Amino acid sequence: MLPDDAVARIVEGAQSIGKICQSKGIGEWEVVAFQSYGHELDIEAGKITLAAGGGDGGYGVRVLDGGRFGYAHLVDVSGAEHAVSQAISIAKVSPAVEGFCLPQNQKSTDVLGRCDNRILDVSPEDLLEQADSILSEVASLDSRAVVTGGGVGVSATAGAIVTSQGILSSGITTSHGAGVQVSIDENDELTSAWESSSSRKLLKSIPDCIETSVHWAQCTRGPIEVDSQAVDCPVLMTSEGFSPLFSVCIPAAVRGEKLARKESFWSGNEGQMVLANDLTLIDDGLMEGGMGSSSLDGEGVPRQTQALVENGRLVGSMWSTRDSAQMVAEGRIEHAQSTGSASRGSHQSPPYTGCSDMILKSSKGGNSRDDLISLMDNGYIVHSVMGAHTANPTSGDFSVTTSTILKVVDGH
Amino acid sequence: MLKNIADSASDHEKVVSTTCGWSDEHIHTELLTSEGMDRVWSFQRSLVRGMVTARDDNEVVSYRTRYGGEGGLELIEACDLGQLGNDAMVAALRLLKAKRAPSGKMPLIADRDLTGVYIHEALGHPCEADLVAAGDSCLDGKLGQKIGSDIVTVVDDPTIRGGYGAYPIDDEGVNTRAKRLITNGVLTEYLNHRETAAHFGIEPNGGARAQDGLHHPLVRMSNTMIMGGNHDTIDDLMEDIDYGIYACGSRGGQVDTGKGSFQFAAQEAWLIENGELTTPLKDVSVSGLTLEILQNVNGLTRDAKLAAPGFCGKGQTVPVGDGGPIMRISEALVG
Repeated sequence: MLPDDAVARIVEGAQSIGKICQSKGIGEWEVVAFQSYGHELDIEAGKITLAAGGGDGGYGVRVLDGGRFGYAHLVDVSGAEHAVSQAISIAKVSPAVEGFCLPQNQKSTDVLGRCDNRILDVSPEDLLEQADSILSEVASLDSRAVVTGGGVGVSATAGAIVTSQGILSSGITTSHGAGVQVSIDENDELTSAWESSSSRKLLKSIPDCIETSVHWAQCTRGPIEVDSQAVDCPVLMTSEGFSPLFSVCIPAAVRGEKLARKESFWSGNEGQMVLANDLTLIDDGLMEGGMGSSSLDGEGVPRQTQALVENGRLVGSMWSTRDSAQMVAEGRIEHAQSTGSASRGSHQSPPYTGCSDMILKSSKGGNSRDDLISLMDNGYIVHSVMGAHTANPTSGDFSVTTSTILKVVDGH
Repeated sequence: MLKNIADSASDHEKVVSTTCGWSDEHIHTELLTSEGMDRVWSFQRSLVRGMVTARDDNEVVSYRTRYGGEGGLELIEACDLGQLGNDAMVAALRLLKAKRAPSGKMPLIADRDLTGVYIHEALGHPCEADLVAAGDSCLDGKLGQKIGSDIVTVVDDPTIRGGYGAYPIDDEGVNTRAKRLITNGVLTEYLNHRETAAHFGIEPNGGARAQDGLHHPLVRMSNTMIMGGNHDTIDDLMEDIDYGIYACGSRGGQVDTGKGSFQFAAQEAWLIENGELTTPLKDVSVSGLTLEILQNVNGLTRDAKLAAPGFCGKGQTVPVGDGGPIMRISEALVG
């Protein structure tokens, strides 16, 4: 899927752009490069409907002069002269951030499980076979069930970062994903459930999400009526139901600049209890096989495993190099430094502060689902929510709906 | 320009932060096909946005504003950006004092922004013929049937110049035209691209859009609007509501096209009591079933137009315009 020389080629390209920066007398510069390839299949109405594949990539160059930075991106190194000049001209008119320097090369920890060579060898025909297997599996689990949407896909990305501060890092990441919307439409009643799996490793032919999707399309049939008035009651949210809300509200709340600007609902609560005292929130940038983990962040700073909330107390925050310098320069905080939390959406945009692989865990250990249901006595189990992205990340408030919900009565 | 927004949006001690952004793009497309099509077209879009965060002790709120459309700098120059920033600040300060919304089924009045999001999510997506063909639309088999109240007429029109969802030619090279999705409550047309048009044995109607050259065209909306009705003002719509909600501005929404259920969130709202706006509310969400709510639309003001620009995600992200008049729904689930 990925050309053998993909990494060498983008490193060479990044270095040549770096040389142009040097030739123009730029003191600090950073070049990132990405080249990705992939193929995917779409499934609609129980059939494989579209096969697509292709590649994308390019270079991003950030230049820094006296705390003023400029950014430009390009597809081919032949456009490097123009892109570097553009970044310089942007830097000249950008406001200076006192104390903002690009990070130096630092010792980092290797993160395992970011590339599975088996994915590199997956062909479109292999994906066709997997999609066929998934369709057959759904039919065998329930003859009424149809995969109305979804698909499977694989991708591989070669990435590199080269900077004036001696950082040179490169590597390949892979990913494999599968998702299905399973519907059961019978007797004028439609139930459906969406489930997906993704991994840096090759998924098994029939990922677990397939059975789960059929299960939820089955077990939500024959719904009961409930009162639409508000009621306070226990709710057990499955990981799939909880994660979308969590990912809208929580990572934003622990971004350093959000806390410093008082834009977070946890601003002013540093060192205070913000969660139940058995809960700990960790951003693990070094998780083996983690989708957001890597040895270096988007600016070349070593990632780390960082406790943000420890036993309920807010103890940390996530920072990138620029945001930390800017907040200190603006006098919003006395001291801040990068926590290796710079992310990059692509080569087309400069780094921003974001989480890697964020986990919430309890010191009480894990309860089984049955235990939790038994403990709640009466309430609801919610497996997915609609409108998670409409949650308010500033206040943390949300009001969402669900159709994959079960009522719990007397612990059952 | 951005400083103009930021300065006017920051002019209060309780405003702790403002962020503003600008984006403009020039889209140039050249399409060559084995059928001999050789078409070239270009156009521009511009957008400014701002977000104001206000704080009072532990109460923190934010208000987002956007302005833009199809066009260049002249579009932004025509906007009073200082007023845009000030309005956002005033709204954020109002939210600081707002109460949480009541929950339950009640009459709802939606402003132009929210009406647009409603019609985009609840009706527009189920009208996309690729979803209809996939058996994933609650409107499957309902062409020609009455699905809404008599006053509901809905168009999707990429030819509205200045709309953020405008485009002159679709991404399969088909000339664009207005599509009348609902006419006086009757479902009259789906959105099609060439593949779905062939599936249904009809002509494509210019609904193919791709995020960019790296993506394949999907059936997408453009500028989607409910047409105006017979009421003059919001006061006319409110006068016979004893207890309800007036919801304004959008924080986005989502739809399950197969089940026909939807959810969308407002930026701010007011309680309506005895025909008057009373208590300001925040974090209001509305949900329901498309086929129920369309029947419950029982009042529209005359002045339909596009509201703030938006973006629609369907695996790919494309700019869209949504809007309409101020709309009254006799009963909606609010929370």
